[in-house]
Amino acid sequence: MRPDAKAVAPVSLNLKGSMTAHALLQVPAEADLQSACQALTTLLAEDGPALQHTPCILAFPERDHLPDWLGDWVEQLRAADLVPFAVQCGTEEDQQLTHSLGLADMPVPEPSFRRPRPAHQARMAAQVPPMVVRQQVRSGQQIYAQGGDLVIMASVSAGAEVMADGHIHIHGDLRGRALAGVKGHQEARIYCRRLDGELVAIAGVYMMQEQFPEQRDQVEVSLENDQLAITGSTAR
Amino acid sequence: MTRIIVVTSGKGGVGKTTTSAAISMGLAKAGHKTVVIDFDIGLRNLDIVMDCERRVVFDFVNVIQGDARLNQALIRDKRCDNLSILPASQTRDKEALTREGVAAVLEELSKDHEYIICDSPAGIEGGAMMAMYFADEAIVVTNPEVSSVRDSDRIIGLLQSKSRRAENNEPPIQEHLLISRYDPERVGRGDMLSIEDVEEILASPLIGVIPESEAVLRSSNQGVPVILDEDSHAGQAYADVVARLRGEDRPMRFTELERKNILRRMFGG
Repeated sequence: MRPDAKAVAPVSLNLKGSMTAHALLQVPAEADLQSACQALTTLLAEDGPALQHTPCILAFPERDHLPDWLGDWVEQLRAADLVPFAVQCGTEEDQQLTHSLGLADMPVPEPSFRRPRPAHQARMAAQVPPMVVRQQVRSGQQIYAQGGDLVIMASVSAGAEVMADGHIHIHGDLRGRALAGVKGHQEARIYCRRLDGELVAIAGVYMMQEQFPEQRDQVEVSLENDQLAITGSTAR
Repeated sequence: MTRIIVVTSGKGGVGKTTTSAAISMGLAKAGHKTVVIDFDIGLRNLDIVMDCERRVVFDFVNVIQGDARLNQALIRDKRCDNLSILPASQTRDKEALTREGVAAVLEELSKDHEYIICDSPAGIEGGAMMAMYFADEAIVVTNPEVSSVRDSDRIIGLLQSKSRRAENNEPPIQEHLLISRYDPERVGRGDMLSIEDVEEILASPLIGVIPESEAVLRSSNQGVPVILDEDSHAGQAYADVVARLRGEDRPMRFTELERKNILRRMFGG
């Protein structure tokens, strides 16, 4: 213990995880230092003041290794008042290069989990028969058809939740929540006699009641271009 | 064969105790040996509505814990010999009820009663679950408003999944929907859900509609089950419910807006 320790009031450090917003600055695979610097100049001309002192993570997608001009690129960015603090990289060599520049290394993220996995889908369709529910699904109840389709012969009450890895068919009114393709099956659909639900979702993409269209009878919900499409009629 | 009927709702203040008191009195007056049990341990109310709060010596919890015999706790109604009341404890909480204890009490009551009416507490916790667990039938009391209807929906789901009948794969609890505090005028103005709305959402058979009535509060405060107030619409509506429980077919009454008599309108009656 240092002799002057008494004079200092003891403090404890809090180390906490946090999720903070930061920018991800990606350089395309075909770029070299010169073309990257040119692109930076263009970017700053458009958004210069807004970008000042912005913390950013550097990324070089679709490259196997970091470019050898990484150090120069970092200097250019600092000169332009950006604050690079980390680099996305995979190999140990790249990590060492990153550390030598005083930056943190970040893992390269996995491709989006929503991307369909064809093998998994084929297996799902072939094996599991649909789950059939004949009673009304009441508020507070949760039904999950694992690995296949869900068929409900009655209504789904407000406050109830029905889920399936495959399609959901509701032969009554949907007043609760329905989530189809919960394991990422993007071709999954939801059908219902009337859509008065709280929420519908396919493969994690969801829509709340206030966004539903006017036509809510004989409804089909599908996922198209990462957005939910709801088609129905007004005839009842 | 004894019929165990739970009166339940999920939401509080919708008329469970009023209904329990009215139908148990109605069944007893029709000649059936009936007992009504207050399951609302800690918030004892049924004894007040039945006008026997000063006659409570032993209660449901005393019987379950073996401190008193069932016959010592049962209170015979002064107006109708066929009716007994098993009061709740005011000093204990709902954890005092055990499933084995409740089963034993119901078993013993089944020997000499045709109807056992279980007045459930509000909520979906232990007390309410205990009241419904052994039931053969359920009267689900609902007010024509959205939150009450949703709570009733939840209760119906629990009746179908968390009762003895559901756990033993026996025929399910037979549900009866009872709409109380119904006011046709407010339905007409769009302030209140209509009977059709409630039936559509809950998809359960309707056993009665009790109109909003000043007689209900007056009766509760006087300790007279409202079914004994034969002049009141609420009393008559409960009489219809009792008749339907006994298998009679009766049309719904007091569900339409009363047209004022033309003479009364002319003379401002």
